[in-house]
Amino acid sequence: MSGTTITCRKLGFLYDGEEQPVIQDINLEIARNQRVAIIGASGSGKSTLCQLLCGLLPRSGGGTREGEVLLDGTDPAAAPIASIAEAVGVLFQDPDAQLVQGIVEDEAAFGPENMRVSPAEIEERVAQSLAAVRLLDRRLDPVRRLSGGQRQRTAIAAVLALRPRLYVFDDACASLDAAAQANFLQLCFTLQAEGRTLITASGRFDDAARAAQRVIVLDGGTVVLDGPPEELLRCCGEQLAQLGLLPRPAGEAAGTAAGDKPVPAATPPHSAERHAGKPIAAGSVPAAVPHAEGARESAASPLLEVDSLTFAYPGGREALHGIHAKIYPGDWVLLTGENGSGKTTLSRLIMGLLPAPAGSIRWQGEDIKGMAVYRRAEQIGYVFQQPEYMFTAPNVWEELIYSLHGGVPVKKRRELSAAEQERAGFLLEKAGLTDRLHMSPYLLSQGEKRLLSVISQLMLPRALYILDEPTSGMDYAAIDRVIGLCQHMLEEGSAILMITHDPELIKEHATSFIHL
Amino acid sequence: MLIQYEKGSSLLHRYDPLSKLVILFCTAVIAMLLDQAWQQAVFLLLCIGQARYAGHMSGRQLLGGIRLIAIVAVPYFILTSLTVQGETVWLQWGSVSVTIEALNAAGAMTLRMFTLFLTSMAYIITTDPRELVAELTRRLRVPYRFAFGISAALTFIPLLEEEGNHILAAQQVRGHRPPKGLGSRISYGLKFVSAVLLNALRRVQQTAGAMESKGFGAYPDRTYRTEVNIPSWAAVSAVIYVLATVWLWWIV
Repeated sequence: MSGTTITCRKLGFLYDGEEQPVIQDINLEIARNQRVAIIGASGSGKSTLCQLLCGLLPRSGGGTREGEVLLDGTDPAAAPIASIAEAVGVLFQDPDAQLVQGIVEDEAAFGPENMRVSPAEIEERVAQSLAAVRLLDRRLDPVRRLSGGQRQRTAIAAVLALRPRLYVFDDACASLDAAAQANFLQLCFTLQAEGRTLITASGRFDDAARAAQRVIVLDGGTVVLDGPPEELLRCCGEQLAQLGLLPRPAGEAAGTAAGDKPVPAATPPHSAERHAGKPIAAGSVPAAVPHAEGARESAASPLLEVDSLTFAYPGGREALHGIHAKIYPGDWVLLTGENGSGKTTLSRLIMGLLPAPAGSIRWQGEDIKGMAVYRRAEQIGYVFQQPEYMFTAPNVWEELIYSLHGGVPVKKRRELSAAEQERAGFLLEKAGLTDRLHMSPYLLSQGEKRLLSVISQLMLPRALYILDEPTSGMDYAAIDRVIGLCQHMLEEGSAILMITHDPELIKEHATSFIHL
Repeated sequence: MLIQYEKGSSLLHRYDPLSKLVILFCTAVIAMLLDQAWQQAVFLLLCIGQARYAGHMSGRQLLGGIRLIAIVAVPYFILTSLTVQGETVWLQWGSVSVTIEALNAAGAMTLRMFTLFLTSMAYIITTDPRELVAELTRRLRVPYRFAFGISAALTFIPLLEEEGNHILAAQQVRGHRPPKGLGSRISYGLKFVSAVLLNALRRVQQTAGAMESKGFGAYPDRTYRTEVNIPSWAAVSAVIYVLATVWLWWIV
C-alpha cells in the first residue's frame, strides 16, 4: 500500500451566502505516508479543509473554491467518485450524519459494497474494522441503541473498511473515552505502518498531534505554524496557548477568563445558599467515587439524591445498576465513565426524559417520579450532547432569550428587563458570541454551537445544571469559557453535574466525581 | 409509533422479500376486488390473523396500527356514509339520511384501508430492508440508487422519529408545557415540525455527502455482503397466491 501525496496551492474557500472566506491562501505539500495533524481553534477552518481534501466541497456542499487541491495529481472535486473513494476516506465531525444503514455491521459494509468488493472480503473488512474500534460484540446492534462515543467508533470503522490510501479524521476523538482515544492513536500508527497517509484534525494540541510527524496550525483560515510537534511545542508554546490549542498556565485560565463582574440574574435567584463545603455522594455501584477534596462536612440537605437506581432499556439491556449519588447546592460534580457506561442515561433519568423507578431519584427530599419535564426544567437546566437538538430560533440572540418568552412572537412579548438584557450581554460576552447575534445557530462552528446551547440554558438561574459533554471537541480557550460560565453559576448558588471525557481539564474546579 | 423491521424467526420473517412482496401485492388486489363490507371484514380478520400468528406481531403492535389508520379511516367512514346515495334508508335524522348501501360502501372502503395498512405494516416489520434492496437490484434489476431510496426511507423513518423524540425532549427541557387548546396545539406542532424538518434537511445534506465519500453511486452496480436465498416453499406459495388472486378476479 502506498499513501497519497497532497498538494494545496493558494487554496481558498468561501461558503455560499458568506462574505468572508473561511480558508484563504493555503499552500501545503504533504508527502506520501506522512502522519499529519491539523489543529486550530473552533472556526479556524479545519473541517472545511478536510472537506476540500475529499472533494465534498465544493462538489456537494456548494461554495466557491480558489486555488488547487491535488491528491496524487488529481483534483478531488472533479475526479470520479470511485477514484476519490479509493484514494481518501473521511470521518466527518458529526458521526450521526454518516451512519445511514441502521445496523453497526452494515455501516462498516456500506463502503466496500459500493466499491464492488467481493462478499468474502467485505466480511473480512467488517470484522477487522469493528475489531479495530472494539465494537465486534455490538456488530448486530442498531446504531440508535449505541452511546455517542460508540456511534463515533462505528463511523470510524465504516471509514476503515474502505481501506483508502489517505485517511482524514476530523475530530475523531471528540466523544471518545480515554481508552478509546488511546486505541485510536494506536490505530493511526498501524495505518501509517501499512503505508497510508494520515490526517487528523482537532481543536487541541492533543495526543494525536503530539504523536504526528508534522503539525499544521490553522488560525482564521490560514496556516500560522507548520512543523514537527516537538519543535512547535518548544518554540511556540505561548502562541499555541494564545490560540487555545494548549492549556493556559494555571492562574490565567478559566476563573480569571470569566471576569470578575457578578452575573446579573434574569429573575430573582433561587434561595439555594452558596455552600462552602458539603460531602458528595458515594457508594454507587459502580461506585460514585468521592473526590478527595469533595469530602466536606455539610449542614445542608441535598438538592438531588439518587438511591439504588437501576435502569434497563426496553429489550432488557441494563444501562445502570444500583447507582447512589447526592448533589448539594454549590457542588460541581463530574460524571465520568467509558463510552456506553450510562452517563447520558443517568442524566436523562434525572431530567425525566426516561422513566426512573419510584423512589430512586429525589429532588429536595421528594420523589420526583411523575413530575413533568417542564416542571423539572424550572429547577434544572439541561444541555444536550448534540446542541442542534436544542435550537428553535432563527438566530443566536433569539436562541439565547428563548427561555425568557417561550417562543412568543416578538409583537406579543414583554420588553426584556434591564437585568435580563444585562445578563444576556454578559453571557454572550463570556461565550465569545457577541459578534454572532444575527447568525443562524446552525451556521456556527461546533464549539460555538455548544457554547450557545450552554448559555441559552444559563439565561434563567436554576438550582442545578446538567451539562452533557459540553467540552467535547472544544479548543482550550472555549473550554476556559465553559469553566468560567460554570464558576459563575456556582457563585449564584447553583450546582453542576457535568458529563465529560475531559476530567483532567476540569478536575481542579470540581468538588467531586461520579464514575460509572 | 415506530414501524420498522424487527428481527424474528416467524414464518413471515423466513419468507424472502420478493415472494412476500408478491403476496402483499396480491393481497392489495384482492382487497380492491371485494366490494361488500362483510367480505372486507372477513378478509381483514384473515390478514390480522396472518400478521399475528404467521408474523408474530403483538396485539399491541396491531392495535397501534389500527389506531393510527383509524385517524384517517373513521372520518372517511362517516363522510362516505353521509354522502353516498342509496335506496334503503337505515337512519333518518331531519334532512340527513344514512342508507344501507352507503353503510356497505363506506364499510368496505374503510375496512380496505385497514387491510392495506396492516398488511404493509406486517411487511415492513418482517422484512429486512437490506435484503429487500439486494433482491430488488439482483433479481429485478432495479437500479440500486432507486432501491436504496426505499431502504433509506425504511431505515431513516425510525432515525427521524428518534430525532423527533430528541427535539421534543429538548423543547420540554426548555420549559415548554404540554399545549392546551387548538391554537396552542397548532403553534406547538408547527414549532416541532419545523425543528424536525430543519434537522432532517441538515441531516440529509450531510448524509448525502458522507454516502458519496463512501463511494455510493460510484458504479452502476454494487456487491452485497449477504446472499438472500429464496426458499422453494416461499416461491411456490407466492405462485399459488397469484393464481388464487387471478381466480378470484375471474369469479367476482
